Amino acid sequence: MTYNRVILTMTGLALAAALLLNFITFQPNRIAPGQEISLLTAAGLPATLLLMALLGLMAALSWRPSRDRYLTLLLLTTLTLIGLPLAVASYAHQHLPADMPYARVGLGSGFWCMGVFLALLVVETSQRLAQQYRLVGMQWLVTAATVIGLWLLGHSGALDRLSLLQEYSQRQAKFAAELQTHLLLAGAAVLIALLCGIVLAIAAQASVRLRQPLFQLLNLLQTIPSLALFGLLMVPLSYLAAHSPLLQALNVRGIGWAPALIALVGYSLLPITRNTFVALQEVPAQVLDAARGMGMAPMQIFLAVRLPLALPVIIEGIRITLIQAIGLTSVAALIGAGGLGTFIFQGLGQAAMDLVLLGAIPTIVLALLADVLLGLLTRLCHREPTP
Amino acid sequence: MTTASTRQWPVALLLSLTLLLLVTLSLPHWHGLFHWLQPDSKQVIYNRDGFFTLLGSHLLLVLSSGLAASLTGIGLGLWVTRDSGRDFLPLVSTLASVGQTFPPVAVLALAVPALGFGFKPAFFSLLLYGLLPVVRNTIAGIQGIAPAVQEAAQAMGMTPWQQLWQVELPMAASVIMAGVRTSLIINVATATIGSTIGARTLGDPIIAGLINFNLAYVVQGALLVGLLAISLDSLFDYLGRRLYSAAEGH
Amino acid sequence: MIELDQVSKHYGDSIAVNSLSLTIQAGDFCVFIGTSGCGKSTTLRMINRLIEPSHGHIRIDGEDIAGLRPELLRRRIGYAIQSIGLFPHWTVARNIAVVPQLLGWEPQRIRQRVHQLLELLHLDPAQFADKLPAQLSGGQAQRVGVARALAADPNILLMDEPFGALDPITRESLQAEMLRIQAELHKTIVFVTHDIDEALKLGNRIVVMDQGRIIQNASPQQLVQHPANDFVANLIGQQDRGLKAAACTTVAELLQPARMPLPSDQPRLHGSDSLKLAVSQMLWHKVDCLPVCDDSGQVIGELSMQRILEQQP
Repeated sequence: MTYNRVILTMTGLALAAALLLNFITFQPNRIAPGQEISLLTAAGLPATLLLMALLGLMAALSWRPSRDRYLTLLLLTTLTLIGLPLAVASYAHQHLPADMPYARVGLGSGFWCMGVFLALLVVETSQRLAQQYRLVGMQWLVTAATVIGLWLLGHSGALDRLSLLQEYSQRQAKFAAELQTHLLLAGAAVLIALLCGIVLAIAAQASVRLRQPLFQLLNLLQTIPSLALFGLLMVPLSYLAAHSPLLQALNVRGIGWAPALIALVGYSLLPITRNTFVALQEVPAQVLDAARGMGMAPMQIFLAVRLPLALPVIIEGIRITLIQAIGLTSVAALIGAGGLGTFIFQGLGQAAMDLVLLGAIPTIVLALLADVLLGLLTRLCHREPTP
Repeated sequence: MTTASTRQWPVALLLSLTLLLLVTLSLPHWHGLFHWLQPDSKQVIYNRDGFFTLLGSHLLLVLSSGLAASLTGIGLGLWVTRDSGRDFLPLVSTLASVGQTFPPVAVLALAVPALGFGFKPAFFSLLLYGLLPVVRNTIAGIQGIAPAVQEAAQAMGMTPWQQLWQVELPMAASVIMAGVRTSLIINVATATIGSTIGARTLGDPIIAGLINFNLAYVVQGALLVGLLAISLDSLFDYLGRRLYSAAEGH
Repeated sequence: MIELDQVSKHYGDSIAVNSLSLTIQAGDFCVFIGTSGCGKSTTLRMINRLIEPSHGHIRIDGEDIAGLRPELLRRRIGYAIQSIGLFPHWTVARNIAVVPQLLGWEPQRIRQRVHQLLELLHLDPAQFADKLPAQLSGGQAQRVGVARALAADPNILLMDEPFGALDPITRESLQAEMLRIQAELHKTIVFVTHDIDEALKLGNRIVVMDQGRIIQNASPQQLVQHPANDFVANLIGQQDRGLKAAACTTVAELLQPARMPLPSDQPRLHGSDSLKLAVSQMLWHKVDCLPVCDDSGQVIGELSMQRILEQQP
């Protein structure tokens, strides 16, 4: 391989996005449609040329790749990733009239596309580094550097005129509350499903007759669209709430947290039960035989052999479930359960795109975080214990 | 090849399809039930659009985006497993698995700033999201073929096209179909939420019901969309079993 | 005839095959042997261009294969690998028919050919033609693999450790099958193995390879009796090379006229048996001479321990 085609393609696409799409939008107030502004206008000629030069250099580094070239490429990509919001900040500083307090800067499609292509560049480069040069985890270094850079930039106030941050600063308290609700709902659902799922998996293992109907039922549940299940649960719950003072006292109603939590648990049951069942099932028969042969009691076998061997697959099940629950919880906002979905649907209702982003971006970040953290945990469990 | 398994009636599929049709047709006449559900409301049957229209446009959205996603997804998966696209394989397979952690609602919502409201953003976000399982399963299906079989095909003197059509695609078919199934089932659910970004789907009565506190509307939409999802799932169950028995030869 | 002319294969800095020259005559059963990674498989796979050589030329019947379309070349060459190379989604008949179909034969002719090959490999067509590979035992699958390689009646057969995954008994019966088929069809066979007994049993030409080079190219007898160096001697084994040498010679080669009628209750040798078998029989029955008979059971001579000892170096 004389050149890395992926890197060349990604830098080419980033360059095209920089030149052809609008970099930012200028909005005189929250609702008014934005005025599209190109990179050249936003950042000025010197900065634009600098960015072109950076991207050109990155493209050149795709030629005859080596460890050092990949590392240089990562460094340059990180600098560019931090540089893009800096360009936005400098525009806001120079061009936003001080007498228009509601004027704001929105991020344009050019900005987002460049960000995506550069992120793909980071993924590709760190994968090559890990595969060919045994240099693992560079993508986390880049992510950390970018996050720190962004945080410092945000903290300095340079990005205050960004519409996304304006939406945030107007509802900081509400954001924190909805984030908490979101995490609480998803977390509680997964926890309850985990407890039930382990019991169900052990039962399915013990009884062959139970197995098929159980998994058919859970499969059916998983098939029903979330919004439909939320809706269908409203009927029995409103009926019960209307007739039971106890439930009324607990704030159980047709809408709100109760149907959301029940539906979320329902959805979480299938992946958790299936993975736990498979994990327990796939412990090699020879190992169990050996354990029996050495005189271990059934409970000892379960705790000392079966469970530890099954743990990575069970955690993998929790990972899938948690990601799914985080996503579904945003739908639950439609039935008044709160969570980050509230911002998404409010934003959609008011056609306020930055409010939509304020809900959507953190939801994605949460899902990715769950993916990374639980993936890490799985890998830790997989590692052979060192003597 | 014995015909016993293929001649067998797909009971679940026929049952769910019949139920879906019957409910769609008769729903406007269930006044009694819905009055009992929503006693304080005069209007208990959703009437902004006919249920058949909603079902049709829901299906149109899901199937058109599903078809596009399947074709692009299979194409992309096949390309990155050929020599010409193999450079992109690590990136594409990472993207396909990381992309699936993105909540569907978020993808739907992000399409609005880019494409506005209506059918178009719903179609594209369903297409994009539906692509991921198809790409992922296509790659897995092709890579799951034993290297010895691939090599044998080459050594027998098959051209790359013959290898693809005669060996790789038939052997990966059931895994690829599973990807298409996942993609469509997720998209039936996501299309329901598509109502919130202005696509006309079976989510309309649900959203309208939630906004106007009309439980009857909610149940009407939920019932239909649930039946639709189950029908589609049974259809794929049936197709998958036929494909499997065809591949096994008995 | 296959000629390899200074053929090399490099992977980056590592050299898999190093300037190798070799001529394999038509009708030869040529066995490549060596430890794993010695370049024997790579060499084999360069003959049907599954791997392209970095340098050098390969000619088949005088024609440089680099100038042929790989697909067309491969359809002219039979290829058999371990049984997992069967197409799992096709029946036995369809698997065997692959190359004839690629060559566009008439369906009727393909059917006849499949039938004929199944019989050649001792698989009952009525029973096996419609089975799937997963329904076969290892030995049956491998027979199908050989039948598939023979399907279009190629002059050259390449076999890459085809019996490597089989149990010893099945392997032995397939080896006998190969010898029978070769005696019948006279193909040019290139066979890769790491099992010296298999090599000595099957090949009439053995090529010992190490680190991408040919160490020795000899007949089985020569190889056992005059190993070129310690590597080859080690490969053959120091302890039981006497028996290995005996395995390379047939009873017919040392046949003596029968001097006196031998007791009829004694076991009999066949002309095609190896000396190793003869010695084993003598040891077991505690005799120093056994009668030799032809296929019809008629005694045609005898073989004594004395004669064997005189012949062995």
